[in-house]
Amino acid sequence: MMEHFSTDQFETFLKLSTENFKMQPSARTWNSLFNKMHPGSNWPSISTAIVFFFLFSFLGTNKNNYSKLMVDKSHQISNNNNKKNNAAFTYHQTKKNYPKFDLVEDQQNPRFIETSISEVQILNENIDSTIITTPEICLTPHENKKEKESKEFELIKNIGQHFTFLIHHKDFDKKEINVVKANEKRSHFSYEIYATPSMDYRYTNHQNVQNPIDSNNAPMHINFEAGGAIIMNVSKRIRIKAGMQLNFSQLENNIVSNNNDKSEAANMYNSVALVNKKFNNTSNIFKNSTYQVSIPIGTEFEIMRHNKLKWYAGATIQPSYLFVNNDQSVFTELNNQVYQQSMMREWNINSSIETFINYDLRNNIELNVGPQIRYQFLSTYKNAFQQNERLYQFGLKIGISKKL
Amino acid sequence: MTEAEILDGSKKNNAVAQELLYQKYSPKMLGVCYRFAKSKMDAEDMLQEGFIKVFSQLHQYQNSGSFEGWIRRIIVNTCINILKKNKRFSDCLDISFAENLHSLEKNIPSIIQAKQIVECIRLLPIGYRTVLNLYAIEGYSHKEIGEMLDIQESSSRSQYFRAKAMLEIVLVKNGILTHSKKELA
Repeated sequence: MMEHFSTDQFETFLKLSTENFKMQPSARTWNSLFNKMHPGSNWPSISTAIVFFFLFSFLGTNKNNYSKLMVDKSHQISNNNNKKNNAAFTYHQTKKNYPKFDLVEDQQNPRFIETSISEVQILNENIDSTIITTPEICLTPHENKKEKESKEFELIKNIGQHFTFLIHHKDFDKKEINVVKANEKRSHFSYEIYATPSMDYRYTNHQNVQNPIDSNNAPMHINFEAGGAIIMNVSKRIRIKAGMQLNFSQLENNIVSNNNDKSEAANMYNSVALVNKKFNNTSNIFKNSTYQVSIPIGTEFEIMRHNKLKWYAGATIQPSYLFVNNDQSVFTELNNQVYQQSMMREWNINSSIETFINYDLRNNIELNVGPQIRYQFLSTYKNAFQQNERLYQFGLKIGISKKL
Repeated sequence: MTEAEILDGSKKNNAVAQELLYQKYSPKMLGVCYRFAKSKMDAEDMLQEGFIKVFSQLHQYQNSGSFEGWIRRIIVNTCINILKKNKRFSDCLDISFAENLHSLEKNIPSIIQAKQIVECIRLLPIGYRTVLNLYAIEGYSHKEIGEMLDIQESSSRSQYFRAKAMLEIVLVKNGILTHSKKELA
């Protein structure tokens, strides 16, 4: 403790005492400063966002106006295993947006054709009508003699997803083919909205606490994620997606518990703020919560499918930005608790792996349900404010997707 | 990056260099602003304005003398200019007596070292505090302070003595001084 001093000593004392006094400015200060000094730097990101918006809008609405009938390359000839005595359609995709049928037929038995077609997709057609006209379909009597004609398909049976058509063609009296459900397919894109309630056992201990509470006994928290994504099918089984997601999470802080810790903490924090008198108890636990916005980018793989059910496995990586937290930290200004957002890491990277069941409801709407494991790569707090914490969460994802 | 490279980059408006320069000096400069400001948020506003001036005037720095001192002068001047825009501050400069200290003392916390002293300084009325900061800590003369604050040199001197006396009482109350000396001057 210092004695009173003379005039010169007073100035010297004040100068020496306060000369190296430092405070950590919040990230807001630099961000605001940066934006004022580099006002143009916002434009590339805005421009990029606009470009992506219109690109996705264009891709999402650029539907194929062709009516197209797609059949599986493999076909079966029923009634008779002897191919010579039957006729069948083979299929190959032309460069145009409609498929082409080459009729391979035994002219000796031209009257009846039955083939199994796995997938038929018809655009701009009413599947409920008895006559479906698909003028782009090519039917040719022989591979070497291709001619393009308008044909009529007459629906004669509709059992579930299986349809039976009669084909009227000048070269054949009536041809009957069984086809599987006619799906309307317009683009490779679909969008998804989802919510993921999750649970974790995050519990942070300050490094300087002498007797940290056993994190194995940390209580469970319910967290929540919600967002939307654009999904693009890149192949029959693989699709990629990108979107935006809001993450709400909770954690508990065990704060410094004795005067020594306070001093160490004050030094470590470089006198960022004062240690509040409220925190003189041996243990102080605060429930905090954070809000992040993240951009999940990921891929999904279709493991198997059966009728309306599909089973997927997927993974995403999510650059995340912390925009709100109500972190009630150890450090306060005078008697008032303050938000120390600067203590928390604003940018982080999350990842998730998930598996889910996709169920086709109707009208191209699908329900996705499955478990998710989420992992945060970096600590919630900045390096200077490191705390021990569990960085993984378990969740149940529930989503609705719709094909565009 | 060396300091010379940071300075050179900042002069060329390189964002990375500017951020490095900001990270290096902003904590100490925020401490300066905090002594003048009403709250930490106000201090951050002062810091922001100050650094805009620092970056815009950086080409004027001739690499002679302490760069930290050069920044500090800009920051202090910015703080004063911001304070002078506040009418309440102008009124405070005319106050020739202190507010009742009792109302200030009751919220003094038990705190640590530099931060404790800064908080004690911040308990002073803003007019006193400003003069004390400029004279005792920043090293300006009373004549310079008079010009900066648009007051008489004698006013600066008298305000400083009163500020010093009041600060001593606050320091004693907080246990930094063992007992008060009636006349410091």
